[in-house]
Amino acid sequence: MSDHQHNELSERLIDLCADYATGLHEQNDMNELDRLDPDMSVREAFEAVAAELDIAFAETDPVDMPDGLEERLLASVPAPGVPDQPELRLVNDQTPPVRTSQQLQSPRGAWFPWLVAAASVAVTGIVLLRPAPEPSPDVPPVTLTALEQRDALIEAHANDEDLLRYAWTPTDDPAVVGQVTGELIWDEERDEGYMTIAGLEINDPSQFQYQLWIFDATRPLDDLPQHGDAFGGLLTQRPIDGGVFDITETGEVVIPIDAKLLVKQGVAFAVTVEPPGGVVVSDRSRVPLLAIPAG
Amino acid sequence: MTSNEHTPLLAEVARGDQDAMRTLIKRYSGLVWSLVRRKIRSQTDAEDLVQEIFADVWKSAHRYDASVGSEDTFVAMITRRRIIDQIRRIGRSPDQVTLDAPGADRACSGSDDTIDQMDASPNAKRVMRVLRSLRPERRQTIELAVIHGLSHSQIAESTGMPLGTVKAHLRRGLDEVRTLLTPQLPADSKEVSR
Repeated sequence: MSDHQHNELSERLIDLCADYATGLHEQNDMNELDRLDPDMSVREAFEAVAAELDIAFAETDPVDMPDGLEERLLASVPAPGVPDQPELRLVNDQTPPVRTSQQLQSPRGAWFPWLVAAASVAVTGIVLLRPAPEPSPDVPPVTLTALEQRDALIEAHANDEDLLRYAWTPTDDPAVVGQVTGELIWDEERDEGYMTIAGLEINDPSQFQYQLWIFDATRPLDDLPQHGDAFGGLLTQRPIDGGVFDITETGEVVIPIDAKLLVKQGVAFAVTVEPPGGVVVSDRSRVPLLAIPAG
Repeated sequence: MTSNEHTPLLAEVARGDQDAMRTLIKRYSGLVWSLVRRKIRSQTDAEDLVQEIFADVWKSAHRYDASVGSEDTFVAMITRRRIIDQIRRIGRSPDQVTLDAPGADRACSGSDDTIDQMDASPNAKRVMRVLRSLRPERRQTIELAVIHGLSHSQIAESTGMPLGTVKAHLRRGLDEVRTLLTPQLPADSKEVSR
């Protein structure tokens, strides 16, 4: 590569990494960024610089925390016995866990190993992350399907009644296209659960997706619209995002629940129809399924 | 607010130590809140996001190498990634611009003495000095993009600069900060030659 070409490449890499670190990257650029920065070290060095800048501003111009937030954060620390740092990546049959550029541009993906310039450590104290431990060569990695994981969870509760199991209550939403069968199971202690669903319309993810919401009895009520008068207004609360998912076949599908917050007391669940990628707050205009206690 | 001289916590958090996690929350909740609130308009959304960020820290702590870096940068990077993710999902808030943030203004335009007198860690002061050394337009675009989370077009609208100029100032400015904070990149094939 000539010096001229090298300079052009470097300038382009700087552009891409600066855009990435500020969240201003274009989706179309991610493949090129992956190619130019395959180990992600350069983009992560830019991210670290942005973080250092953010910290400096926060220190010189802090924003007061709202009352009670720290207490709520402290209360959300998992209790002893909750599995720590879950490394098990559930494999949805339809979505193998391949690291793609799409995942790389999303902070919701796994926290990837990154390497900031060695010099930056000396000067700025920038952090390094260890790569995830490699699996032992003697033990072949085992990836269980969502169905297997669900069955294992049920099996683990074979001798107790601690697993919440709710049948679906369908509504008259047009996404309900057949006899709804299946159930939702939720293990409060493990913060783990699965949906088994049949009877929902197969969705085109570019048009709409389904999203699960978890109503936690310990969360405050709000004034969001609810369907019916169930639970004394509980369903007016801001629920916890339980993850976006797709229905890919007419038969029964098993979908892991991906709760974005610790669920302390999940007492009701709702599936909504949302734009691709899901939403932060649902307008609840389309709620095809509810999972609520009988009676 | 933060300091690199605190007792390390992430290794303990990685081992599932709830007390360490509580201490970490007490130490960094102010930082995380400041980063989030400056970019997320809805207080409710911001509060939920802060909770998600600490859940991420809890899950990711095992990937932190305490021997080579600061924990506050680790927490801030996770925070920024979650903020960016949320902004890209729900859109930016154009009226979030705070061009006259007092601390930032003093840091960017004041003298070294002004920075020295600030209630901030030595590292934060050093970063501020680096930022202050930049050309004003680069400094401004960095502040609006990195600190306030504005898009290129929003910065162009706020400052009156052409869009291409905004992009160039931001990219070159960030790279300049990186260079000033880090004298050299690793000696690999991606070494940036200017």
